[in-house]
Amino acid sequence: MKKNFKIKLIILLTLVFFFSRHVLAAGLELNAERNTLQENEVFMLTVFLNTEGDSINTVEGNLKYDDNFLKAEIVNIGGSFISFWVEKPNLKTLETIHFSGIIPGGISTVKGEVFKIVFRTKKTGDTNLLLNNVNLFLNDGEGSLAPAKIINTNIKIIQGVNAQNTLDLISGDKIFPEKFNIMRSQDSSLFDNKYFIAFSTTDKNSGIDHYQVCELFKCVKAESPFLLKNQTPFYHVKVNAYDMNGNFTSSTLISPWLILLTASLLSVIFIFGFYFYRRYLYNYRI
Amino acid sequence: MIKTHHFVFLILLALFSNSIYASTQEASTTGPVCGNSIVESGEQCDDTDLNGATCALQGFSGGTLSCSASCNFNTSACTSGGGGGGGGGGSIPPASSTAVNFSGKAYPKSVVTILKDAQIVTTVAAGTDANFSTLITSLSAGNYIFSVYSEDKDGRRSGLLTFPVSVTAGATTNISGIFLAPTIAVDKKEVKRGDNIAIFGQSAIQSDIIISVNSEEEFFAKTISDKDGIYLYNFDTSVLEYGSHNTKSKASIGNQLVSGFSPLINFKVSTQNIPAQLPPQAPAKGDLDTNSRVNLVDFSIVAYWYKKSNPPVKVDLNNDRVVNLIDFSIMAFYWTG
Repeated sequence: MKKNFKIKLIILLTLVFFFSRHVLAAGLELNAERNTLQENEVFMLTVFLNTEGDSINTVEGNLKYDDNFLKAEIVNIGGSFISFWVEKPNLKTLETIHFSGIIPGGISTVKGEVFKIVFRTKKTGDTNLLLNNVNLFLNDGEGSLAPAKIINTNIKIIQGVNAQNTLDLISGDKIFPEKFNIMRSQDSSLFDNKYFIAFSTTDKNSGIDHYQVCELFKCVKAESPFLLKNQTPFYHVKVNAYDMNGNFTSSTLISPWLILLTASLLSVIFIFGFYFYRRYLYNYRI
Repeated sequence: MIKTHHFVFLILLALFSNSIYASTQEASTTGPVCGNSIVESGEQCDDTDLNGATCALQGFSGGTLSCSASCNFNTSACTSGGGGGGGGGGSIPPASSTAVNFSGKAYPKSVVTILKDAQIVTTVAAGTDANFSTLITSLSAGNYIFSVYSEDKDGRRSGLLTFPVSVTAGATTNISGIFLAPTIAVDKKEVKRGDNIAIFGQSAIQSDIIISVNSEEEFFAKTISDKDGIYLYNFDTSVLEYGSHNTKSKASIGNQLVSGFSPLINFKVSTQNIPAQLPPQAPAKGDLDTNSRVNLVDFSIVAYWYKKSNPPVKVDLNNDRVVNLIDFSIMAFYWTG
């Protein structure tokens, strides 16, 4: 009798432990601003992180949708807490939006925004928005996976005249991307130990769209890390960070040697100039 | 001939002075342009664009809000309320900028580093009482992740303390009561069972330090930091089994301020004593370019090798022969900015 009681107690405690872990697990949640929409109507879906008290420093997942019912129009990362995207969510792959990014130092949040996406409804019916391959990594220095709970959502599309067919997240953005610094470095594991630059910034409204790197008189669309053409100590490189609405913030990195060289040349010109000017005055008097 | 020299001189002078001027202009980051009628980052308003602000939103009862030449709110035409009898002229609340103020306790005379979205935005020196305070300005309205860490007198770093902050335009957000976790070290990496192991570090002055030693059973010890914030506890290892153990510490002041736990320090209980090494100046992992920091450059190196075959050994932080998100997670833990 006593033995039976012990076994039951162990089973009960195991179940309680398992389910409490499950209920309290960190997770991603899909949140649609409305779940019943009309045809050709737009709505915003937000991917939220709830860490349930854990500290999470890396997030990964896929957002799946059915292209028969929904068209993905805009991805917005302006409100995201992700500091650096490893794979920025984009619309390149139909029906799947993959994303991964890190938060150095970890984050503990109840409703932290990962990113937003604007969908347009296509035809009537019920459709699901699903998250899969979700991985949440604990900020423990070992890259341990946290058990992840997923909350999906579904959309009901009904017939009718659409109430809202535009949702402008971009053209109203008048805020410039955040100021940033360019870091120049070299490392044996990258570009054969040649000099490269690293850069990153955020835009709190429409999000960063792309970067442009300018060396000498040529600017190219680029990503970090970027191998510098000019490998000499006399570098001058400018990076423009553009948001989705075309607002941009620039940052320039100039070699101290280049500044010194320019200043030296200027000094030499001044000295020679002064000398020739004096000679000119002298000759003129003669 | 002389006239030619004169000309050459003037042309070169103009050319080079222009070049120097251009360089100086380029050196600064493009910021908001005051006067273009568009409210940009760091501006409260611009010309007629008040960004939706009114006198009422600035704490006045009425009047007309305008924009100054420096793109700050001009509240001179705003009116205050009835004032209710005889109080000597209420002061006009100054228009505040979009900012975040950080204040709290680190370690006496330590340097506190503040990160904005994982990149260093400022450093501030804590006083002899370990208190620090700093204001971060030129922010936009939106979501930020701020992180704070400090280094003790021996160069040991605290863990990163992160704060997700939703910043409001025209308001200063106060993040107060920050209490950084103590630093921690041990005097032996291997200790003979029964001998003492010294567990020490730095916190705020006169803090209650709780030390936890994790074994099969968890042991707790308590001590108090001195006037320099330094604490030391000699832990008797006779209660520990042979094998690997770890320790961590946290601090509290008057049951009001309680820090998180310090990073874990590992040690082994064995049959011999082996002294611990001096505190490493570089983070244990993730510092790929060996500049004693884990920052955007290191992130870029790992990002370059992400999912590529045959990554260099040093980029593969967990030695599983692939660069994947586990490596990014490890790097994020050791981040210094």
